[in-house]
Formats: sequence, C-alpha cells, structure tokens
Amino acid sequence: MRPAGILIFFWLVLVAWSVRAETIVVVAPERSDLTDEFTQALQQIRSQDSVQFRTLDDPSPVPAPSTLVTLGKAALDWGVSFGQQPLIGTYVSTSGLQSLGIESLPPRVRILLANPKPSRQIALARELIPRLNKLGVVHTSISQPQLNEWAAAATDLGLQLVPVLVSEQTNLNRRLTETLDTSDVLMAPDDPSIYNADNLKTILLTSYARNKVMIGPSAPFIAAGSLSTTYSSPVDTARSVQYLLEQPESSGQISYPHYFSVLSNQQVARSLGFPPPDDAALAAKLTDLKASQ
Amino acid sequence: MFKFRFRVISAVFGLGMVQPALAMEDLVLGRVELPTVLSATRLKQAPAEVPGSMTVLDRQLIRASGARDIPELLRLVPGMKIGYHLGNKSNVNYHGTNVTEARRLQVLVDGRSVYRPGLATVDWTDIPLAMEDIERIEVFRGPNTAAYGANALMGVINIISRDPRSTLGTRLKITTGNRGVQDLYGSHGTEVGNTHLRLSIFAKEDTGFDIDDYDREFRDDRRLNAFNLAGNTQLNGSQSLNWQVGAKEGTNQEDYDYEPMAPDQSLYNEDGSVPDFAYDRQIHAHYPPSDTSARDLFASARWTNDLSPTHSLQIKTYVQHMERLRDWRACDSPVVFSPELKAIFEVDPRLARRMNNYFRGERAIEVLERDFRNQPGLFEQAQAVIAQHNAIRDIGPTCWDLGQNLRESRFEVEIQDTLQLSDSLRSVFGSNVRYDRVASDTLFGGTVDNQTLQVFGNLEFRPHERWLLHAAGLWEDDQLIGDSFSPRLAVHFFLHPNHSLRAVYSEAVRSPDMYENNAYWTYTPTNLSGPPIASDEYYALAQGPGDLEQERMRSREIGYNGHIHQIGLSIDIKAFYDEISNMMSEPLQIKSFIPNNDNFARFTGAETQIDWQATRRDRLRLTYAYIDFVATRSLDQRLTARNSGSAAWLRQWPAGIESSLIYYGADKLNERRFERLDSRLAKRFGSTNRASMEIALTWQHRLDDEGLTWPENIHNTRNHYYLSAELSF
Repeated sequence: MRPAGILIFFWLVLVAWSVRAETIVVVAPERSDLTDEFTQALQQIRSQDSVQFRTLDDPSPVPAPSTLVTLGKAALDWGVSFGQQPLIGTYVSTSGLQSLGIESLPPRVRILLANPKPSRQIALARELIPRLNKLGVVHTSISQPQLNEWAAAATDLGLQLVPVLVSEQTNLNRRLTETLDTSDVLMAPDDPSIYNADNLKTILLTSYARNKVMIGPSAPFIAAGSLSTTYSSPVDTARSVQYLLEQPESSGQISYPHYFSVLSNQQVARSLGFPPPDDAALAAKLTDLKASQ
Repeated sequence: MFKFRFRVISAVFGLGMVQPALAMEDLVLGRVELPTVLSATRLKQAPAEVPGSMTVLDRQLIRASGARDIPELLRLVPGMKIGYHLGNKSNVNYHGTNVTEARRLQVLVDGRSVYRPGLATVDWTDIPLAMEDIERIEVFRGPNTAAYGANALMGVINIISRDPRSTLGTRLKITTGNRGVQDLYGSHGTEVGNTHLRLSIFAKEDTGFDIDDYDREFRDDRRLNAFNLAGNTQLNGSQSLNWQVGAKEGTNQEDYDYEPMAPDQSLYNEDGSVPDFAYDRQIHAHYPPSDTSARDLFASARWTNDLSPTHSLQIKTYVQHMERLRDWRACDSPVVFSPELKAIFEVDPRLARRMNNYFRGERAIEVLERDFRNQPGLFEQAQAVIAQHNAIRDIGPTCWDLGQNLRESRFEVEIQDTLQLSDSLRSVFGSNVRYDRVASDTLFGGTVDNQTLQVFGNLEFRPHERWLLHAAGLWEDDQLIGDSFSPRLAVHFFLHPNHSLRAVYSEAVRSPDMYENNAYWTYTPTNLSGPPIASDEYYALAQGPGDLEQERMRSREIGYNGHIHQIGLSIDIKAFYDEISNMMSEPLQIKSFIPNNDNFARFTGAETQIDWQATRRDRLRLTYAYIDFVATRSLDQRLTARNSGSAAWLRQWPAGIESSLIYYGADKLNERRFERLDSRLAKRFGSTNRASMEIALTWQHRLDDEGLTWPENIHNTRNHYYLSAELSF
C-alpha cells in the first residue's frame, strides 16, 4: 500500500498543480533587454505559473499555452492566427492596430495599448505648465480617429483642444508654426507619419525656439527633446497584464495599461525655466487624480 | 470605455501620406533610435545660469512695441540710452558715455558683426534685416569681451532672425503714418528639397525731425530699399547649414556738412544780417545738402555639425561690404589752402580755431593777438591770412568738390567647438580670424587694413547642484593695436533651481578704431572754382597717432535672477560697479583731432527687469535703472540718465484684438527729459489656417516738450502715429 499511497499523493499533487499552474508564453519579434525585463517581471508577479519567452522566428513547437502574451505588432499579427487560447497583445499602438488592417479582433484577444492615454498626457501637461488652456495637436488622417478621445479628455479637465490637420507632409511646418502660435503646448498623439525621426528636428527646434514644449508621444521622444510623457515601463506593462488577467473578459477589448510612469527631460526643463520635474511624484499625482475621479 | 474602429489601410492613407516606416512599436521596443535633437550643446542656458545680465526682447514684445527700428526697441532694455543725432542717425549706448558716438557696444545680426570697423559705430538704419524678420533680440548687459572680443566693452546686442522653417508662406505689409512714414514689406517662405528659404524685400521712408531750433526745415529724411534671403539647409541628420545674403541701398539726408574757416556771418551776428560783400553773399547762399548714399551687402554661412548629443562643431563665416558715399561742393575762403594758415595749424590747431572765431566776427583782432602772444612771429602769419581773405571778399569764395566716401569691407571665419564633458562640466573653445579694410581718400588718405586673431574658451562647472562656476577668457591679437587678454569669472549660488544669486568679475577692452588711430583726414581741392589758391594742401590734417592703446573696463556685478514658474513671474536684479580707464573721449573733428587715452569713467548703480505673465491674456513688464557716474570728460557726462525705465502692459482681447501700452522715461538724456507713452492696437481678421489680415495702429505720444537728445531735434507735434495692414497667406 505504501507505493500506491505515494502514487496517489503524487497524482493529487499533479492534479492540483495542473489546476493552478498555467503556462504563459511571451512572444516577441526578437529578444532584447526590454523583453527580458518584461518576462522577468511577469514571472515574478505570476510566480506560480510558468512564463516562457520565445521569438517569432523560433522554429521549435510552441508549448500549448494557457495564455499568450505578444509584444509588438508583428507578434500580435501572428498570435491572432495561432490557436484559440486567450491572447493579450502588448506594445501595440492605436496606429499600429490600424495599420494591421484586421477587420475585427477575435473576442479572446485583448490589447494593452503602447501609446499613452490622452487623459493622462493632458493631466501631465496641466501639472507641468501653469495656466494651461489651449492644447495644440498637430495630426494627420492617421491619428484623426484618436481626436475624439483627446477632445473629451481635454474637456473633462476644462481645457481646449486645438487640432490642426496636416494633409500634406510639405505643409507640416506651416501647420506647426500656426499651432505653436495659437496654443500653449504641443500634445503629440500617436501619429508616426508626423512624429518620426525625419520630422523630429523641425518639430522640436521650432517649438523650442518659441519656448513651447511637446508632451509625448512616447518615452523614446524624451531623450530626443520632448519635455515629458507618461509611459508604461516593462514592469508597468507586466503589472498591467496581470491586472488585465484579473479582470473579467467583458471588461473591454482594447485598453491602456493600468500602471504607468512619467519620464521627463530634465535638461530641456531646466533650459526653459521649468522647475525640475519629479517624475515619480508626477506619476503618483496622476494616479491619485485618476483614483479620485 | 475605449472604443476602437478598425479601418482598412487604404482608406486611412488615402490623402497622400506615406505609410510610416517608423512605428511607435519599433521605437518603444527599442528597435529604432531617435536622434537627440535638443542636445546639451543645443540647449540655451537657463536665465538663472547666465554669467551676467541678459534681457531678451521676444517677438511678442517686438510686435507689441510697434517699433519701426531696432534702437526704439532697445528702450525696453534697462540701462540702455537711445539718442538721436539726426532722425536717420540714432546711437545706442549702454549706461552712457559719448552722446554722438556709440563705440562701446558690439552688435551682431545672426552672428555677423555690424559694428563698423572704420568708424567704430553702428548704422542702425542700414542693417539689411526687416523688423518683421526678427525672432528675438538678446542683450547682454555688461562687458562680454571674454566671449565676443574687443568692442563688446559695455555690452552685446545679438539680433536673431526668424528661422526660415517657421516663416513659410507669404506676408505683405504696408505701413503709413505722419512724419512721412511709408514702409513696405513683403516676404515669401518656401521649401526647396532639403532647404527652407525666405526672401524678404522691404522699403522704409520717413522725414525724421521736422524743424531745427532755428525753425528751419530739418534735412534728415531717409529712404531705403533692402532685401534679405535666408536659408536653412539640412545636409543630413546631424549637419545643417544656415546661410543668408542681403543688401541695402538708401539715402540718409544731411545738411551741408562743411564748416568754412570764414563762414556766413549772419549766423553769428545778432541782427542776422549778411555783410555786403560778394564773398559773404555767396557763402550765405551756398548751402548744398551732403546726403549719404548708403549701400550694404553681405553673405554669411554657418555650418553646424552635431557630432554627438554632447559634442558639436560650428564654423561660421561672412563677408560684408559697406559704402557710405557723400559728394558735395564746399566753398570757403582760399586761405584754407594757404601755407601760412597751415603753419599756424601745425603749431597749434587751437590757434587755427581762434582764427575761425575771428572770421566769424566773434573775436576782435586785439583778442586774437593775445591768443598768439606765446608764439613769436606767428601772429604776422595770421595777419597775412586775414589780408589774403580781405583781398578776395569782393570776388567770392573758392569752391571745390568734397568727397567724403568711405568703403569698409570685412571677412571673418570662426570655428567653435562645444563639448559637454560630463553632466557637470561643459566647455566651448574656438578661434576667430578677421580681416578688415577701410578705404577713403578723404578720411584715410587711401586704405587701411587690419587683421585680428582671437582664441577663446569658456568652461562651465557645476560642482554641486547649488553652485555653478564659469571661467572664460579671450586672447586677441590686433595687427594695428597689439594683443590683449580679457577674462571673466562668475559664480552662481542656487537658492532653488530657478533662483540664483550671482557674482561676476570681468575685464574687457575696446580697441581704438581705425579712424581714431589711423585717420589721415584732409581735403584735396578738385574741380576748383573762384579765386586762385596758394597751394593745394588744405590747412588742416587730422592724423591718428597710431599708438593709441585699448580702453580697459573692469566690471563687478552681483545679481539675482529668479523665475516663479507657477505664476509666470521673472525677476532680474543687478548691482554694478564698472570702471573704464584709458578712455578715448575727445571729439574727433578735422580741425580738432587729438585722440588720447587720458580719460576715465565709472558707472555704479542698480537695474531691474520684471516680466510677469499676470493672466493668460495680460503681460506686465517693468524695467528700471539707477546709474551714478563719474566721467573725467564733460562729453561723457551727458548721456547718462540717473533714472530711466519702462513699463509695459500687453493684453490679448477676445476677437483677435491685441493692445499694448508702454511708458518710457529717462530723467536726463543728454540733459533733456524724455518721456513717451506708446500704444498699439491691432485686430486680426480671418482664420488661422489659410489667409489672415492684421490691421494695427501705433501711436506714440511724447509727454514732455523737449527736443529729442538735442535741442534742434524737434517734431511739429508730440504725436506720432502710423497704421499698418499685414496680409498673410
């Protein structure tokens, strides 16, 4: 009976394990510091589960996951057509989703957007810029669908959105100067056709020459010279994935990460006479603002 | 909850936008990197970190002032003294010194010095840059030879034009008003390949002052036409080229600029009568204009290479040519070409001046004889001169063509390396070579050349977040003057990142200009008429000594600069103790040309500027300067107002209306009070995106009834107004 008892014990343990433990597969186009940091953070948060990382071009068979987490647009594109398990797509932006051209997402897919939430960006701008009133948004048709959300967020905070459409790239400079003349700050939406390496110099130098700053569009722009942005670090994103997993699936298919941080360019702030931004305090304040609403 | 509608790509990109290669995902995932645009080397110093006192006149202020010329704008700078010699000739001095010359400020337009090497002055009216194209003016109040070289003795005015990238489209502006104001401006900005361009063409006209203190029509109109073509070419991600060419031509009117040895006595007689001699009648009637025809042209280029976010290299060069052409006919007694008068002048120019007093009828012959008592035998020469003059009084004066043409050329190359060595250490090093040439037969007896070499360095070290140390120095070797070294040391203590206390010590120099040091000024009789002359050498020769030394300034300053971000309030206060030694203060006229280094001046006092964005629509700005001074030469004692300042209120009203109200006051500018209230009201019509039009009325009202700087600088009315209409599309 003793060996049978041991077998039963192991079987029970195994059943219990298989009920509790899940396999989360994280898929990204390639491995990087960011993917490592994200995977480690997710593993720490879900210590009882197995979090496995793989790249898109990994030829080995994908272990049957209980949940698939994709990083980036290409991984999402792949994940949508792979299997039937729940999928959380991270590091995908609104414009990126648009460009995927998927008519509709299967109900098992949920998205955590990589572009910052407009209401957070506007609240951040309001914290940094005294007497803020007019928010200039230079955009193209790509980011046009985002404007309603920007306008609603501005209205909620009693501010005015000044959207300026750039219909041709050659008009960017003129529209930009008009916007800078008529607004207090430049809010950058998720619009890679404007906010890219080619245009960045013009946008930042023109606004800087007029003592105006840009907020957003994402963390990499801060080192380039944008004043500040909210963003989700790999740890924030991992925590947000966890948050999403705890929510009922009906809670919405596309959302912004629940957790976020603030990143500011201290040198730009100092040069323009801003008090040195305290990013941690700003993030805490924006979180409190949200909580109190 | 967030809703999202998927769309088909083709619909989204239907408007000619190219699908971006650089998606946010790639950036966020770190697969693509962005260039650092606002790098440490590109960022400007925060106001609290400037090693000195700085006033920035931004575009909003420039527009609100309604000013048609830069000197009028500079009244907004605390401690700046604006004087007028003629309506078309203003001079700008910081804190004071000579009222007719402005020799001690360096003035740069986009890095190009417009300080004239030959005459050491700035012709504000002749700068080929329209007010409409100025982005901002940065005025460094205090010596800055350590960064800008000799001549930045009392300050530096940096005029920065608008970036062609931000002036695309067409603008047309017309301005008209009293005092003959008639201005036109047109510009068009466009993009050609990787270059942004702006071509501006403008014209300006006014009649200057109306009447002089003898109630005569004041001949000081001006008229000018100019163009400026500015470009910004992006060579690649890290290299750019800013270039500019411009030219100006115009006429600045001026009354007859020759003072005869034996002048029209009616000016000096109590009854104003003309003695009944042919000579006197003809001299009285001879009053031709001696207008200046001014031409300026220049080309400049600045190549910037951002080697890394912490290292940038810049090379700038420019070439410029200025012409001031004046030709008129002078008439005088033939005695001015007599060897006897020349002999008297060579013994003592003051005795020749006494002869002039005699010919004016201001000095009796007995008094003149006493003037000569220390020069045995010379009075006989004087008597011979008088006899020669009396002999032609029934015939008439001798007349000849007097050309006082001056051509000045300059070429300069500068290399500058900016390196952020660490978060706490930043350096700027560079070198500059300049070549100057002046040519004038009358003033220089031909041409004078000069070459200057500068080597400069600047270190900024932040050992602690509360402390900032600056050390700067410039060594300069001037071919005509010799070498000099100008250091500056500054220390900042930060009460808060935006609030600092500063202490600055600097030494600065001003090199004697070519005119002071190398003039060879005399008149050559060409195209003679009237009685014959005894020789063809004019009696007076103004000759620069060639061994003048540099003026030296020692400046000590303590100050506070603070910016309260939440309420939009900026304050700067400074107290200063500035001393200039070796000062050249003598008025340099052909008949009295004795430049020397014998004078001294000291300026002590305090200044403040307060700029407050009081509400979203209201901006208030105050400046005030209190200056106490000592100057050994009386001419240097006149321009400094003990109390001066300005107060401005700018407001944006609904419906595109803007107003501004600015008060300027100085208790004694060249011994005359100056108070003026300027207002401007503008209304903008039309949408922002396509075309818009702005109508603006500027109205300046003098609150006192003094002449402007000089008693003869009088306007018929205290009110000056002009209306402008500007169309942008």
